[in-house]
Amino acid sequence: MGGALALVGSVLTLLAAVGVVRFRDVMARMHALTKASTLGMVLVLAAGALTLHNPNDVTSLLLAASLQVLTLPVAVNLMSRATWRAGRIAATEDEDHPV
Amino acid sequence: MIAAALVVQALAALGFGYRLVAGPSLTDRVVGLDGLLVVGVSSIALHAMATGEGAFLPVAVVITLVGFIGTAVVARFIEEAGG
Amino acid sequence: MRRSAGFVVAIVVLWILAWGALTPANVLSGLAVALVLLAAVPEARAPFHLPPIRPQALARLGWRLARDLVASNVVLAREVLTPRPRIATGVVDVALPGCSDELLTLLANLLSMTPGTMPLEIRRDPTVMVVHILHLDDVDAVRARIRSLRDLLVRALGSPEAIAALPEARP
Repeated sequence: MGGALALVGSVLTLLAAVGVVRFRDVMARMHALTKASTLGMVLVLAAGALTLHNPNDVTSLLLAASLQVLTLPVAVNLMSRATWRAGRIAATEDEDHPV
Repeated sequence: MIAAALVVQALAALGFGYRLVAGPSLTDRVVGLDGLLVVGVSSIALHAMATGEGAFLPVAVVITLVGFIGTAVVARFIEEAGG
Repeated sequence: MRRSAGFVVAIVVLWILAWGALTPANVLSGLAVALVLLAAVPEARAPFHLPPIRPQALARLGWRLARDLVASNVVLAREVLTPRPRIATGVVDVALPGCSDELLTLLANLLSMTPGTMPLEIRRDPTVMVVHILHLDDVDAVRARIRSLRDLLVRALGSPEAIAALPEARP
């Protein structure tokens, strides 16, 4: 059962990777990253927590999963905000220096 | 089944790696790198499931934290210097 | 001192999770780390109010989150697998008057998981959240969805004054 869950999570991560490769726009690629790969990774880590028996391992996996859920969306949001602001600054600079 | 999951992770890593190398902007490359970190953490967990040894699991926690800090720093840079 | 009890408990739990074993040495060192953090970081001493448990509102919020999580992945799968990705992206401004900082943070985090939305920026005065949309067809529908999520959050986790201040959408 843990193996099946891990496979589903891995397929979700693969879906995110295909999205990151195929989407036309950098913002859309970040959509794929936050939604699919976070869930995919949480599923794989949950599968590991179900399969392993050593409590030391299970707590490490739970810690990694909760840290990822807390940090990955925030990190991608920092990136999207920075890209958005940089894009706006680039746009206004183009207005000042028409080619 | 875990072997199949590892193969799928490898394919995902190829995809993210392509974006890391080809992505026109710096943001694209960081997106690829974050994806590679996700694949890395998942692969560590899969390896622990396959061998039953959890020796590498703390590495997954450290990768998560360091990856987050690195991404935050690059985001600051993009905001100041343009991507 | 009692106000920071929640913070100390959280740090000790995280510390024990990191070390992986519930031993007296781990609990004591966790307490030491928590006390050092309390002394060193002034923001940690802010009192943390636990919201009252409202099972019905929490269940509604949980159900909405679960549905959104599944829907976002299904939508993404469809977009990724169709031969010609026909994505019309856009950026929407959503006015969210009267939201606290914590509510905006939680809302932005949840919007990263809901289908088609990705928060970009939050501006204050007036309070506006700028959101990037993957499939932009109806701007008002997007705004309504975000506001309904905000309402669910306030009903589940907000103080009674915040709930009373919610604009009643249903006539």
